[in-house]
Amino acid sequence: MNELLRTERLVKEFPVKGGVVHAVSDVSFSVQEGETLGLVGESGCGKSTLGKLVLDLIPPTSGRVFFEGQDLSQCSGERLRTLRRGMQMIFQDPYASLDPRMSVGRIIMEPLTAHRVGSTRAERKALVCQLMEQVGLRPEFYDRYPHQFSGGQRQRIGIARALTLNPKLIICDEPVSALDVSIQAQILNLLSDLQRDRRLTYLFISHDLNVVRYLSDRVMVMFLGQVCELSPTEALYTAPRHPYTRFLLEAVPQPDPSRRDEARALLTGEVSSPVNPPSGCRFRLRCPYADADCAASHPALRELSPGCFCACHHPLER
Amino acid sequence: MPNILEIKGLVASFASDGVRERAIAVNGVDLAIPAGKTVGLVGESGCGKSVTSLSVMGLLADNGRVEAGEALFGGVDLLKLSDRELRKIRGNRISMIFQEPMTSLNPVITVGKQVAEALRLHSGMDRQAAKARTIEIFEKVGIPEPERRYACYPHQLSGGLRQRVMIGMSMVLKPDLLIADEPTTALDVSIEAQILRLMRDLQRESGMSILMITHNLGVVAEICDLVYVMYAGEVVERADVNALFAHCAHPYTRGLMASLPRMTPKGQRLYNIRGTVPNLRAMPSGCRFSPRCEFATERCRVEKPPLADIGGGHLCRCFAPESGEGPMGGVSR
Repeated sequence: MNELLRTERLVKEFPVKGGVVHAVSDVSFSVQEGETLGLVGESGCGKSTLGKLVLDLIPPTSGRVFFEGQDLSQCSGERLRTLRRGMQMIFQDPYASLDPRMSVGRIIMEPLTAHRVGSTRAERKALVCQLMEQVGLRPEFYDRYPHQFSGGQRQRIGIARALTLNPKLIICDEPVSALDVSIQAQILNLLSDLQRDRRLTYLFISHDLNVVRYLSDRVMVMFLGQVCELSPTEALYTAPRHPYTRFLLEAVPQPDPSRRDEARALLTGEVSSPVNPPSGCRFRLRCPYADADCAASHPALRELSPGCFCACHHPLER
Repeated sequence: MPNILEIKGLVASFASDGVRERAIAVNGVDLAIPAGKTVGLVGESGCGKSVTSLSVMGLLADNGRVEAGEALFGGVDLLKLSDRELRKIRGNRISMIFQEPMTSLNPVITVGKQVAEALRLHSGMDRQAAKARTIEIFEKVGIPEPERRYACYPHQLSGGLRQRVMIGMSMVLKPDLLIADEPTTALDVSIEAQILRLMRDLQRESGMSILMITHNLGVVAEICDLVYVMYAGEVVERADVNALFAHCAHPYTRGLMASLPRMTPKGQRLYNIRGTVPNLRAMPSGCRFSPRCEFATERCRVEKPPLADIGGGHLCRCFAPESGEGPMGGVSR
């Protein structure tokens, strides 16, 4: 497999009154072609900011993003435009990301026009109808407006638009969080079909650990802007090495009432603020295993077993 | 066991601009909440679960109206009470918490004052006693540094803390019934787990009943004793929580359970219920789920199945309820 995306020591800081938001701190990872990398963490952990950095929608404070081997910060003009066609995004709230005054057909066609794909309007329209069919929308709906669709259908529109330029990488930012369970399953199935048929690569951002498990080959867990753990999905879910990963997994309410009385360790305290985070390991204030080492230095992301990376001075035993 | 609240034949409708016919959002719902128990009311958006509770509390929006039914609470029909009489019960004997605490809290009054005010209004405590009691309550619902938090405005607290304030406020008057409408939906998982545990602990201590309105079957499994499943304005299944998760009977419930990504390995398809929820103004005849049901027969399309007992108080609105491992159990696509 080829590496499609790589980030090197990405940092994004936002200055605010009274300090600096450390949204993304020193994050390096890579995604292989055809792979789904799941990205999980609680609000404020920097997962959406990371998605935007990867797409070059916001500039990093430092660090670099490589897409197909090319450093995005070194590209500009036509070269950047061409590279960008290869990466697209699907958003959480399809309604907020669709222009209410544009018909669905025009919404899906817009990227084609912008990148001058297809020589005639008729040709583009044919492409749009084909895409609509692929994502499960009837081409007769071409002239309808976003408000005439249900939430699930709107997400299909968002997916069709992301596919128009034949991207290699799609960043999915909470694509099913706003949907009902039965519709969520339809969209997840669609995403896996599209991945198979078009050899797509996904960076799948979600706070829903069950959804991430279903879709991902590998999963990266973030806490306050830093990577805690990055491992193949089953390893991460069955034998987490970072204490935060384990707490997160244990907190998810499972649809199985026989498990409710299992003694579960719950995280205490609040989600900490990324403004002026603690020294050393940023999780240490909520971690029951933290000691002086954790305050003194930030644990580096180390490979504890083949393919399993964890940033902790005292990783859990397997 | 006596029921703390008994809803019978509730029908609620909504008017919308430019449409003469009112949309029926809740169509003949029967629901009983046993004393000291947690009852789950589950279903997808638009199924009428929130409208059911808002109707009972007299909190429907201006375009909403209760058409029929009764809601017996301690022998009194809540639907027949005047606004003034209802207000006495709301907050005093029945409390509500919602998904987004920010919208239920006054942004320009400190959270401590808001809780203390509720105390003074309903129990006639003086200022100082109310403040002391509020701080006690904050401590009880797990708010760290309660004295300092007393003087905070809602925007200065995290979502989890705001929900704790709401729970604290709902608990001050020791209600008999707490109605919680998606109380953890906006929270992170680690905070959700804390809030659910808090609700269970408070219930154990006070003996109150809880009506838990949620779309999350994980939350249901975590906290409920008895579960009602709603679809398109009607109850389609009612069962003890263990029975429901071990062998749910209605094709809709089975479909919901099967569409959850649980341990499903990558590459294997998730079950999905075909189609979408019907429009309130164009309800299918017969069984309302029949257009989406893969087991529907001709009879289902013309005749409406009753909510029937299929054994041991397990109710199901289906002509051919499943028991044990049915076709959906081994479903692959």
